[in-house]
Amino acid sequence: MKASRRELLLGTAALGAAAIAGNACNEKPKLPEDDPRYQGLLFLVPIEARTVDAWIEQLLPADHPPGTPGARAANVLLYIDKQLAQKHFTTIARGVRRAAVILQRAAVAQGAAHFADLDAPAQRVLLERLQQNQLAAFAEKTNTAKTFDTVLLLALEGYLGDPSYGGNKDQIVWRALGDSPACPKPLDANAHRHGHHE
Amino acid sequence: MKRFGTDEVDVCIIGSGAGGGPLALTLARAGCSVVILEKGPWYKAEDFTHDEIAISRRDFFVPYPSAEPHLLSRKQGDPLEPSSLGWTANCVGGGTVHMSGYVFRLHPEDFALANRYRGIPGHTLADWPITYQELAPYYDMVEREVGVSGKAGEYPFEPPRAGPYPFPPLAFNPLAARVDDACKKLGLHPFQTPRAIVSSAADGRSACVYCNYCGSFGCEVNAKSSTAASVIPKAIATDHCELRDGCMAYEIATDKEGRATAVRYITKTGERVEQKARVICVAATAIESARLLLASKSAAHPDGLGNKSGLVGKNLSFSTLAKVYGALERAALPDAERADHPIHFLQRSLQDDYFVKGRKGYDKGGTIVFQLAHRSAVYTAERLARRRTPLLWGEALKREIFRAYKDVIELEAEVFGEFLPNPHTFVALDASTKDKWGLAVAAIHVDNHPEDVAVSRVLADKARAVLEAAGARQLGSEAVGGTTFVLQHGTARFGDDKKTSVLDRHCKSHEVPNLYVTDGSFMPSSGGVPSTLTIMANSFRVGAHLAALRRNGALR
Repeated sequence: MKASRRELLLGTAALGAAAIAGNACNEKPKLPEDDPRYQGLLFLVPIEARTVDAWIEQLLPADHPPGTPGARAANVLLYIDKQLAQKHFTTIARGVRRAAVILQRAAVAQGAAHFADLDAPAQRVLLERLQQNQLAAFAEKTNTAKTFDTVLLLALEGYLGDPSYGGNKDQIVWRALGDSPACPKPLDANAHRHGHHE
Repeated sequence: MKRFGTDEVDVCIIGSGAGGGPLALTLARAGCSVVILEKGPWYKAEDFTHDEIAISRRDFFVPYPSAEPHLLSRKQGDPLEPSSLGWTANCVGGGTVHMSGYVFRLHPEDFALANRYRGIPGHTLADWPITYQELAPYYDMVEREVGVSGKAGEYPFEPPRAGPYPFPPLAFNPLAARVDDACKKLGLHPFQTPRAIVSSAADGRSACVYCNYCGSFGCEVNAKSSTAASVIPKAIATDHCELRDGCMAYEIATDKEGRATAVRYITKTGERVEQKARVICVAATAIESARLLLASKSAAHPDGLGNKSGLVGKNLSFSTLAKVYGALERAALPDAERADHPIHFLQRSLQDDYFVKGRKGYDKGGTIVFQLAHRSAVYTAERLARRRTPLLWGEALKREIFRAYKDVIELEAEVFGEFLPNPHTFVALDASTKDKWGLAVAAIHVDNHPEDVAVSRVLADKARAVLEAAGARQLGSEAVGGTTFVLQHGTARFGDDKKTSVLDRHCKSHEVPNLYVTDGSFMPSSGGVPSTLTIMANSFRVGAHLAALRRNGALR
């Protein structure tokens, strides 16, 4: 796995903080960002990936309706990361990165270490403000509303689209819906009975 | 496939969709040497999967604005912004590949709307220089040649026709009976929607397999009657027609007298090539054809090719759109209707208000097409999210998504209405923005006439009443008075007066004697139906004219 410069910098910073906190052993402390799901992504660095993961789970939460998969179970994060790494999504990817920073900053301001550490209602409040363009500082000139909508649409693609792109893992969502885009089986003779064929 | 090289051929056609395909077939059958230049790729049936992300949400059909932008202002005074709207499918077959295939004829009255509405201010309608009767034989021809399924004689407002449809009507979902009953309860006259989809095998094409992925998708068995599945293969089989895909025409060259001599284009490998031709036919969509003509400036044509009138790009029209929906609760339906039926087509339409009864002044209505909501999952979820501002998400959205699949069957009505051409709706060339080849792009300015928005609302209300009478609940509407950007017309309108039109009645430029435009550009009014069938019929009509010239040794 190739670490990005940004990832290395963040990793170093985390280690430094741990050392100051008095962790004397040489082992890297276990951070939530170390979760394998956030490693080795194409665009998002682990700390951003954790934010986006929490974000999209709020967009498509598990068990609403009961028993239905959420974004996490469908691997939507993997899908979104792959999309953001594509050249034609450069501008959008930049917006998502900015929005992740804005969410993280707002979470820290509330005393959390990370956006994902907030409870679900608090995450939703911040996301609502992100959607309404009320979270970015004026100087940032960032249209987070547009970014929010784009992430929602990408999340829907990763949730409901073809599994070959990394989302909708094992067709989990199609199976839950009871429908898939496969061509129906050849029609039996009776299938035309309502058709008034001449 | 025959290869001609770049020496002079009889006819070079730019675009292989509704305006180019039928023309190519007619000319190739007449023995003309024909080269078709198509900017997009040549997809085969096996390329058309149901992968929604690849096919209908990326650049499979329509280029990204970062590569080939259109600039779009959606209302007078709004700034121009990069957009992918205004493109139809960029591939062999053009927009006929990803169409739903609703193919209605115009009505005889459509040919003289300017006269009918001369008292209404603010529009720039013009009467057609031909009549319905002159176009009717070519409607018959296109229905036969591309393959149209339908049932004639079902309703009193049907435009005159010589006989039955060449293919029997498609099968339909049992819920169609509800729509029939609802319409009849309201005193309306439903009829089976004519479709450019073959209901039985023909010409090496399969009959429709009812996969339910027509609109926004290509047909995986060639049952949909795109020009790529129908007339183009027939044209190539004559050995008089060559199709070059991935070839972007950027200029039509002229000689000192102002006659068109060649088409300059960029190949898929980036090579710049010049194809000489006796006659050049432009059929690249009303927006892109106007862009090409406006970009083809010379000493003889300083304002663009054939544009002394200043009308190239003006009088752009689309089709107005409204969408109405409502849900049938599965639990309340009888057994026969509750389960998912393999056939997703409803196949019902209404034209009772093609002219709105009792409306004073402007009464041009249109067509209501009933259908079941498309099954594409991402599209379905996106529509549900967009039903609220700001977009719906979270638990509420997820509940809606699962409800849409599990608990309800959604009925829809699409309303197609006349888009009144007006001084604020036009295409211009914008050299300040360039596409990936460095070519100036099309800037599309749109403004709706208040009357066509008002009528769109009247028709949407009518559609809503039908859905309600059919038992649908939680009714709603989208985009009432909106615009169908894939249906484009008017940017080189035809007419008998060269001061008020760009083309003559044969779609030949008034100024350039060997230049023709055969996509929707020629249409001075859009009609209250999707225009694809009319564009194809006219393409056959122009083809017949050129073939006659060739027979007389006058094709030049």
